[in-house]
Amino acid sequence: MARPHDTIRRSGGWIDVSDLAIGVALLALAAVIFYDAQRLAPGSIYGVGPSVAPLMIAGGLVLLGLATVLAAWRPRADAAAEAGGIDRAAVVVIVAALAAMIALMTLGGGFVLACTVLFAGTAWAFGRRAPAADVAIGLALALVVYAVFTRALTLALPEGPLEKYVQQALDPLVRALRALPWPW
Amino acid sequence: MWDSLAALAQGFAVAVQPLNLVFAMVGVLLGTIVGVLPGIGPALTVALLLPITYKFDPAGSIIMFAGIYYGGMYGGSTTAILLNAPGESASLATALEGNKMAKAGRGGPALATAAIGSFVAGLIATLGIALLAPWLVEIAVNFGPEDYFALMVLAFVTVSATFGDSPRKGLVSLFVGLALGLVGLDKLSGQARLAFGVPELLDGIEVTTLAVGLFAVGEALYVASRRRHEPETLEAVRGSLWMTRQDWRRSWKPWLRGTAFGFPIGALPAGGAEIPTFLSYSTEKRLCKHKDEFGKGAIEGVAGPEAANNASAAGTLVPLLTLGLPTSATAAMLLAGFQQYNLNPGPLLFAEKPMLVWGLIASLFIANAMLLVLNLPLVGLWVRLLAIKRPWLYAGILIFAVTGTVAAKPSPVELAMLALFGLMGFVMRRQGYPIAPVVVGLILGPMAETHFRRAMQLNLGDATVFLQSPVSATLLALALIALVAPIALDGLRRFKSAED
Amino acid sequence: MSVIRKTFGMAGAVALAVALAAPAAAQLELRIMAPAGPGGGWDQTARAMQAAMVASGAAKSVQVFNVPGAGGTVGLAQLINAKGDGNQLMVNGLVMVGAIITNKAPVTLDKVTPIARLTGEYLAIVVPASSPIKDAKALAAAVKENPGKVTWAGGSAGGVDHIAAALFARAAGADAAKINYIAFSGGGEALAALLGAKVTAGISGYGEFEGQIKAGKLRLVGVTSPNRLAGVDAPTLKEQGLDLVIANWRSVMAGPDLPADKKAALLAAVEKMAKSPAWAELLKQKGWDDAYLSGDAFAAFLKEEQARVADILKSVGLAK
Repeated sequence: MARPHDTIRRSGGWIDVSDLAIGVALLALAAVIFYDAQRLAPGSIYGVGPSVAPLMIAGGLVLLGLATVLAAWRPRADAAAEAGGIDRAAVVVIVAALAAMIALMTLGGGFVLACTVLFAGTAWAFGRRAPAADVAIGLALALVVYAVFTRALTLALPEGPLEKYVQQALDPLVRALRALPWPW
Repeated sequence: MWDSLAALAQGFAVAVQPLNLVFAMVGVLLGTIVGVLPGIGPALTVALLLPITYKFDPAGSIIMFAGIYYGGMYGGSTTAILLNAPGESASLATALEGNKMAKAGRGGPALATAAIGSFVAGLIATLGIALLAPWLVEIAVNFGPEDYFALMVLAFVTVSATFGDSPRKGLVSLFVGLALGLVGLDKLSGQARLAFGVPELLDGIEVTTLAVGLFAVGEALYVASRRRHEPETLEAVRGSLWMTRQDWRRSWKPWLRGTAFGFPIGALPAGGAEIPTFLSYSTEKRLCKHKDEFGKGAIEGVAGPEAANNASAAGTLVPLLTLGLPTSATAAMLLAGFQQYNLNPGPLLFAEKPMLVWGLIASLFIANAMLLVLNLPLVGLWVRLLAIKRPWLYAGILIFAVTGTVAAKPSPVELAMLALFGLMGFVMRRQGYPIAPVVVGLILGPMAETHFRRAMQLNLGDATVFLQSPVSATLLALALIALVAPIALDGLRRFKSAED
Repeated sequence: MSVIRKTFGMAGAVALAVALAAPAAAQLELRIMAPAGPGGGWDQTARAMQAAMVASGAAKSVQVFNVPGAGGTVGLAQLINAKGDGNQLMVNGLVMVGAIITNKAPVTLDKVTPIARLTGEYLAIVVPASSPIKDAKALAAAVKENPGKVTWAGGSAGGVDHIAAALFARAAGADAAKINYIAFSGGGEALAALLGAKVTAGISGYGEFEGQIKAGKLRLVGVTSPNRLAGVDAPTLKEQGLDLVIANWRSVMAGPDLPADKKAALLAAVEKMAKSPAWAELLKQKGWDDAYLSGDAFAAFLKEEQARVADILKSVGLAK
């Protein structure tokens, strides 16, 4: 049997590094919750305070974290089937596209640009190698969504330089529609 | 009771006038279109489209309003089924099996059973309002915090239906969800928990952000990481686009059971739509003859929760019309709609303006029927969405997820959470942890805690109240049975087979 | 066929019509922030302002945007960045005054420029119809005797209802820290608890209880207004010897360091709107009371409210 992905050979079985990491993460989460619950004031003097539920949940997480750490040691014949053949690059590209989207959205790049980047990046991660076409499609999609949300539904979306042009282009259209004789 | 039915018949006479049918149709159409948009649940759909209805006479506008309402709800189910992006917590259970069905080329039957199930539930629930409202509301207001807590306990017991095959992994997911539920201002004491001074976290974690992150973004990452193992495009239609005879046979009982969960719980002032959908999902899983299909796209898992969701929406009309209590965001919007015509829902409404009330109930029903008429032919069109090439489909889904998040809460923190939950969903999928219990924990945890503490506060810290209230005691006993029975039955079966 | 085509045409037209407002005038191009999600009270106020300002010609165009979060303090933090911006307004109210304190918000209202108070709603104190308590005096006596036994149902912890309940206890001569206040989310749930007689008393905006009071399901024991309210058959708390006057008000504010001419322009625009028939019509439609108070008078009122709220929140243990 080939050595499963992300495991360490030990006598009597494998250690699943991912499961071990999840177990440790659960214990860490429990510690954070525990620490946070310590500083809460008792709240109302009647009934149960706000720190009881966090302490109970932290307790449960400790037990589950230990169980998960133990489970990582178990001999795992099934690990081989699931692991392997993971396209790490694809995941990295999508995460990078998401990060770029958040940056553009919050640093003034605007909704349309951010979505275009996310669309083209995701398409790339899925194996397409036609960035020009994907940028065009993403741009068109984002523009339509932007127009519908801001003009028809009057919901605000983050604005950047592109959106200003779109608004200028849409304004005459809106004015023309307004001038039409509506039945109401 | 006969007076109610006669009044309902009269209401129908008004609602089926041709012009009013057109209003219903326009409403359903607009509601579906807007409801399908990311981040816009039924309540916001109604809020956004309410001004349009002002332009018509009261009868026409209430009917259009009803259409928007149902259209908005169905729009949410559509995205849950097709894109695995539940737009509101009530369509979470629908996404579980519905999206699996859609991926297997059975999106058509999934959408159909959702629409028809909603209709059946709406029909029964409308009759329920006519016949039971005054009686039901009496019970509903006497439901105390201790009783709600017991109901939550019962709901918690059923969560295991979403666990998959490893109880440990299921519990890990659930507890992560419970931990996420702690984030934000504590409702009862007003203190911040796990917010670390980030103001955006004070309101807690948005259910839709978590669900869309884990379900839709997480899946996009997972599929991308395994794309070499999977075909370039999904097959949008495999087998019949419509429900087959077998689909009908497997759907009708879940519709009825879903309604039986949804209507009474929806009528409770703090009942909500989530608990009945969870209860329905786990019941169907337990009763289903095709248990192995659950988790792979069992039609019962769509039919039941969808019926429960719609029935609970009708249930919220009971406290709204009889007491004037808006018990959900959408009911609050309905209330705003009423007030537009100087109509104040409340204890006197049935006595003072019976025609309008029954007209409204009839229009809800007509709108529901119209939804069926309009949307069944569109099923074929919706399903084609899935035939889009995989790169574009998932890129589109990500745009959808981001737009929904930004439209609801335009803040970098919210977007970062969406991305983070997406990564979490990816890791959980890879390691075989079930996703749904996280969201269930986030929804049920804070509710259970709030009701528990309210009960304790009202009774000055005396915990025996949970056993003293007959409703609470009964529900807790049911929960205990639901917890123990499967284990006991399983043991019995093993014991028997060992004897053979 | 023609019906179908007509319907579809109409659907498109209707969707677009949402974005179309009445004719424009004036020169201000305003952006009004609702520091809450769409649909809530602040959002409704902002959108009502939008309609009334455009209709009355107080502004050329008005755009509403939502910055939800943390009782409005997320939006407030954003307004602080709009230094000297004469085209941006934010809707807020008494709830934000409390939220800033309980959330320990890094920014306060001291930096922004108060423009005007627009609406207000007095609170009502009710008991279930079956309750032995007949008036505010009896309720005050019960609170004084054993504050824990009197359970209050109202809105979120640290919100206006909670503040009012604490002020009531203080006016009754009881320790405000000992009140047994149970926070409910949304009016419906608190109302249900009252109708089921699960709690002793309820406190919220009068409008929330109106229907139930008229139907005889709840008994109104007092209102928090200085004088009797028109059309409300109940004495004020003041008449019953309890010194408590409080209203849940909503107002509009602008960014920090506003130049005098820009401030004057905004004050004039808001005044024009507040005095317009369109605004009066909207107030009637929504059931809001006019509480217009602008400029320095409003700033002084705001200071008083801040001090009073800070003091009472401290006494109920929600602030230090």
